[in-house]
Amino acid sequence: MNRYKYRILFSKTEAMRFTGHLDLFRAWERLLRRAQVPLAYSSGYHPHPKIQIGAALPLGVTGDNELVDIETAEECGVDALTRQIAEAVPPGVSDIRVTALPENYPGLEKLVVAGDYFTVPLEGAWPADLPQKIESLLASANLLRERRGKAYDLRPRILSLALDGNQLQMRLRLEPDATGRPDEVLSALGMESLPVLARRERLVLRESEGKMIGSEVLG
Amino acid sequence: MNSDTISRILPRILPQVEKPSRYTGGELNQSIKDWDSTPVRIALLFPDIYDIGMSNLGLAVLYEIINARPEALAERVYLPWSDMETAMKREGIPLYSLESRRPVADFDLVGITLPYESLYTNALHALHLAGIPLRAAERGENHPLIVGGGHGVFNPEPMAEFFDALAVGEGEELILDLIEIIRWRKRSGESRLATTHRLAGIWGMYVPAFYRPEYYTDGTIARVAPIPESGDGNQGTPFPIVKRIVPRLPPPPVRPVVPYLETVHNRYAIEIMRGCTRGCRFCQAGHVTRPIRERPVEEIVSSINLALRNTGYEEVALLSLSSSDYSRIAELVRALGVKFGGSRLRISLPSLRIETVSVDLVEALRSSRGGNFTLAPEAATDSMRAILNKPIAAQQLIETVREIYSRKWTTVKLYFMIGHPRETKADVRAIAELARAVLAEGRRSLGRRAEVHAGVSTLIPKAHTPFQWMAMDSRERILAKQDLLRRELRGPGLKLDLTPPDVTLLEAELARGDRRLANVIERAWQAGARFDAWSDRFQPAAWHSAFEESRIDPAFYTGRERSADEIFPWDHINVGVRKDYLRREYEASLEGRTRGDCREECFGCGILTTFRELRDALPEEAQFCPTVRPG
Repeated sequence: MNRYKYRILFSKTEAMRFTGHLDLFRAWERLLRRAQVPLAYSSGYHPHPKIQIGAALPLGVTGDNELVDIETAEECGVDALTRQIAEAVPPGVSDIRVTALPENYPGLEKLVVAGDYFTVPLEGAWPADLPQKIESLLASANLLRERRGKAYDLRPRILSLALDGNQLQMRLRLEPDATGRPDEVLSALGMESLPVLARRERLVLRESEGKMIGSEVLG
Repeated sequence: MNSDTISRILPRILPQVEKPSRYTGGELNQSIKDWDSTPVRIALLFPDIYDIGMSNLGLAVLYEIINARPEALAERVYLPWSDMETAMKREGIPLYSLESRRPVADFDLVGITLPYESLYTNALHALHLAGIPLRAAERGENHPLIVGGGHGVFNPEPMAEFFDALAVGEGEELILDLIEIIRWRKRSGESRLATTHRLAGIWGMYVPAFYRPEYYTDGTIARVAPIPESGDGNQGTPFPIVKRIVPRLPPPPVRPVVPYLETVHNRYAIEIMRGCTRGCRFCQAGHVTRPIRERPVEEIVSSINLALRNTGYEEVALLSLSSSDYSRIAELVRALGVKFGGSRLRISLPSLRIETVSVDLVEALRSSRGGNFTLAPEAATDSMRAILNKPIAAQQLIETVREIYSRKWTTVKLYFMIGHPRETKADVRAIAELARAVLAEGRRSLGRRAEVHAGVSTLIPKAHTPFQWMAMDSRERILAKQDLLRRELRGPGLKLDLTPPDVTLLEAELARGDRRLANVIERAWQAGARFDAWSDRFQPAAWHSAFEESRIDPAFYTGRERSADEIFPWDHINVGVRKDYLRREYEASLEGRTRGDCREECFGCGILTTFRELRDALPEEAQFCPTVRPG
C-alpha cells in the first residue's frame, strides 16, 4: 500500500491554551476527518490514524510554529491539502502550512531537539532580582529537581536562558527522556507561584548533517 | 462582576486547577451571539461538571434550536469541580457561562436539566454559586426565571419549590413558546408574576407556586390542586398538567459543540426513535416517552453525514429505548453500511433485543474486532421475567451469546435488576447461574479470553410505572441479595458490579417524594451534600440528618405498599398513560401475567386518546401508535 507523508506547521492559539496533548491529538484527528483527508491507518485490531504531533506543549502554553506529521493513503496536492485543512480548523488552530515529505523521511521524534519559549508575567513585571537569579542558575553545574516522583537534573536541559526586556527567553531540550519544561525553570528561579503567559515560538530540529533549523522555516 | 473581569482573572487561576479546559469554552461549533442586540438570553445548565454535562443530548438539542432563532441566544453552564469552586470563591467569580463568560444571574432564563435525582443538590448548588436565591418565592423581579426539565420532572414535587416553572415532557417546541414569553416580557416590562402566569398557560408547563398540596393526617396526599384564591390571572392554570410532546421528531442537531476534553460520551448521538411499545413494568422511560415516533431512515443517514462534516467525530451512537423495535432497522443498518462503510466510523447500536438477529445487526456495523456486547435480560427466572414483563427464553439468551462469542466479542455485559419484593433467593441465585452459563459458552468459543461482566442494579418503583404502588425492598434485604451475588457470582472471567443500597434508596426517596422534601434537600445541601452521583462524594450521613431534622421518615416514601386509591404526589402530572391502565398492569404483574408488544395489540394505555387530535392531523406514514386491529 502506498503511503504519502506530509508535515504540517500550525499555531496553537489562545482558544486551545489549556488543551492537553492527548486532546490536541484528538482535535487533529477530527480536523483531518472534517477536511476529508484520506488518512492512512495502522493495521491490527484497533487501527489508528497515522498522525504524529511534535513534542507535546505543556498545558497553558501556546505555540507559534508547532508541527504535526500525517500519512495519507492517497497522494494529496500540497495546495489542496493546505486549503482543505485551513477551512476545517477549530478555534485554537491556525496558520496551516503544509509540505510534502519523502516516504522514508525521519519522524519528528528523531528530529526535534529543542524548543524556544517566551514567557512574560501575566500582570506587571518580573521581580527585580531576576537577572541575578538567571546568572547564578546558569553558573551552576547541576540543578537537581524532582518531577512526578522522579529525580533529574534540569541544568543540562536548559540550553539558553536570558531576559530581553520583559520577555524571559529560554531554549530547552526536547528529547526523549530529556525534556525541559518552562514551568520547571520558573520554579528553579523561585517563581513557581507567579502567573505567567508562555508561548513556544519554535521547535528546533536537527536536519541532515547535523544542521539545526527552526520549525518556522518549514512552512 | 462582568465578563471582562472574569476573562481577566481566569488565566491566573486556570493553571492551578485540574482539566482547565472544562472552564474555558471556545470549542468547535460553540455559538457566541451579540449580547446587546439579542433580546432573549438563555443559560442552559447541566448540574454536574463539564465532562458529564457535555454528553447530554437534551441540552444539545435545545442549544441548537435556540441559537437558530435570531431573537435568542443560548450559552452553556456546568458546575465547577471543587478545586475550581475554591478558586472562584477566592476571586469572587460567580457561576458563569462558557461562551461569553457572563454571570448566570445576568441571563433572562436559566434552564436546568434534571435527568436523574442524584443531581438535585447540585441544582441547588448551581443556584447558590450563581448568587440566585434557592427558592422561587425568594426571587425578585430582576432574577432570571429558573425553569427545570428532564425526566426527574415527571415527579416534579420534591424540587417544586426551587423552580419558577418546570417543563414536563418534550422541549423542542415548548422552548419556542418560552422564547416568545421572555421576549414579550422584555418588550412590555411586565412583572415576574404576570410572566409566570403566562408560563403556566403553556402546554406542558407546570408552575408549582400556583398549586398547593393538601395532606391527610396520616401524611398521605388528599389532593394537589390549583390555588383558587390567587386572583383572576390564575384562571388559566391547567389541571392536570398534560406533558408536552412533538407529534413528529423535529430534525436532530447537526452542529453540536465538539469538546476538546475527553467527556463521558464523546461522539455524535442521534435519536432514531422516541417512545417504546414493550411495556417493561419497571421502566419509567418506556411509559413517559410514549407514543412511539420513528425518525425516517433517510433523515438519520443525511443528518449523520452532515454532522460528521461539521464535527469530524469518529463515532456515532444511534439512540432509542429499543433499537430492535425500530421498524426499518435492517434497512437503516444497510443504508449506513453503504454510506459510511470504509470510512472507519464506529457506529454503536445499543438497546437491542436478546436474539441472534441483533448480533447480525451489530456485526454489520462493526469496524474493529474484540470488544464487548451488552444485553439486558434484567431477570434470570421465568417467574421474575413475567413480573417485570420482560419475557426471554433462557435458550434464546444462550443461543445469542453463543453467536456473540463465536464472532469474537470477548466480553458479554449483562444487566440485571434485583429488589422486587416478590423476588426469592432462588431468583437471585439464578442470576449468578445464568452469568456462569454465559461464561461457559464464551469459554467454548474463546477459551480463557472470554469474560462476563454482570451489572446488577436495584429496582426503584418509579412514578408513572405499573410498579408505582409497590414497596421497595428494605436496605437489609437488598444487602442480603447483594451478598448472595458476591458469594455466587465470582471467579476468573466474571465481574460483578453492584449499586450501593444507600445510593439506590436516596434516588428512590427523591423519585417518589412529595413537596415536603424541599426542606430535606435544602438541609442536605447545606450540610455539604452534592455530587451525590459520585460514589466518592456521596454523603449518606448528610442526608440521614437532613431527614431527621425535617422530621420526615424516608421509609414513608419507599417502604410502603400503597393502596389502590392513594393519591400520588405526581398524579396531577398527566403523561398520557392512564392510572387505571398502570393499576391493571400492576395487578397483572402480581399474577405473573405478561403483556405483549403494543404494536400487535392495543392495551388501551391512554396515550392514543390523550393525543388523538395530534395523531389524526399527521399524514398516514408518520402516525404514532401503530394501527392495530381491535384484539
